[in-house]
Amino acid sequence: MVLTEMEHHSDIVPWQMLAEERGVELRYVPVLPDFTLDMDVFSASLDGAKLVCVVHTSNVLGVRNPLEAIIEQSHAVGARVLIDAAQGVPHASIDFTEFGPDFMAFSAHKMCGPTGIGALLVAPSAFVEMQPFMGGGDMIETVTVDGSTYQTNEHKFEAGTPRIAEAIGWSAALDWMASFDLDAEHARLVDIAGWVAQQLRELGMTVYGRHGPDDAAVVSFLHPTINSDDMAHLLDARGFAVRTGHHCAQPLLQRLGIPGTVRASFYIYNTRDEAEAFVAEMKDIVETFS
Amino acid sequence: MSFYPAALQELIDEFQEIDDKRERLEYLFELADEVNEFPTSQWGDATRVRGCQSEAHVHIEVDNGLVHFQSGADAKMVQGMMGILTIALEGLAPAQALMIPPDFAEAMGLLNTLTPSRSNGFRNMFDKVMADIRQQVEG
Repeated sequence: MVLTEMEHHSDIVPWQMLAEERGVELRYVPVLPDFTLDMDVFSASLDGAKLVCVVHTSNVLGVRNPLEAIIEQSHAVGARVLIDAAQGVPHASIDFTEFGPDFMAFSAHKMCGPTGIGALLVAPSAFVEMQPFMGGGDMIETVTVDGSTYQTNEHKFEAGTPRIAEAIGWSAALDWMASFDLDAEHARLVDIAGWVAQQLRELGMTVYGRHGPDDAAVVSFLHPTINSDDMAHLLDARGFAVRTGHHCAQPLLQRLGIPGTVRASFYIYNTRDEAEAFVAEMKDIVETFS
Repeated sequence: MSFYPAALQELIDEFQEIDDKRERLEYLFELADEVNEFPTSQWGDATRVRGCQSEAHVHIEVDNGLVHFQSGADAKMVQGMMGILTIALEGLAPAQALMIPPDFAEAMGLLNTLTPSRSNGFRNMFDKVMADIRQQVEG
């Protein structure tokens, strides 16, 4: 299996558990100093690979990976591709079939929906090869004391009572998101993030990310002397919620040589005025506490 | 209330007068100046506060029958909490220090400012300091 150093723990730990159970070899594609994947190592890693798992967009850096090339090269050697699109689907309209991976996973709570529910999209050619992984109610066709037969459609993966309330909530969130022009929103937000990143650099911050047109509107940064947690508490007291720490992506932070970052994320409910207020408060914090 | 030494009670009163979360936090940061610095060169396993989100170290000495408290941390906020403990403990007789209950952080309204992991860290620091004082007294 080919993974990358940019993955969220959710796309590393299950594979490490599987590797331990089945003796699967895991290969990790490194992240370069410009925050992109080392595509030369990626190409070399494909030799003999069966499955390639890559994050669509890094939750730390906001960098959107060259997925079209990754899918094409992987398929050329007969490897299947899983895209962790938790940070991709909220920021771009993706046509799964046209996009072309074999699997694509994402979470409701990253797209304005409830926690505790997610989706795995599966290409038909992979679907027919997949067997149920969990037994119980609903996933069966018939059950006798001698044995059971299983559903052949998607219900074969959905044993037991489904997450009904969460599904209804997610559906409502998707309806709400559909009222936005996602592509236009994306362009607006990346523009805001790029501006914030530049302002933070001018304030002496190190910014981790590049904020290109396809990247997500997250700004990860560190101040040379103000502790990340202190920064987060100071911002919180001024009305701004940021995330600190390793962002569940420790291998990436190990590669960057830092224990964590402060991360400001911008989404469809944020305005330019809020970004300007954020920068103004950051200026004040830096002047007062550095 | 009677357990709190005068300096600590005064600090509790001051915190209780601050209604604004931001002011309370920034006052906590100022209290970092109260810390008797514990040099990083002496930080080690024995001085580390476990279960604290930050790297935090404390050192207790009982000299001439009085508690001397040194501390250091990588976050200003933790240093501020150490500053409070310094005001509370410095120069007290060990028996008097050991009578301080741990709930003054709550009385100061600090637990509303802190995240749960931070307030656990504060409690761990308090418990370690008290255990270190007890150990010094009992040898």
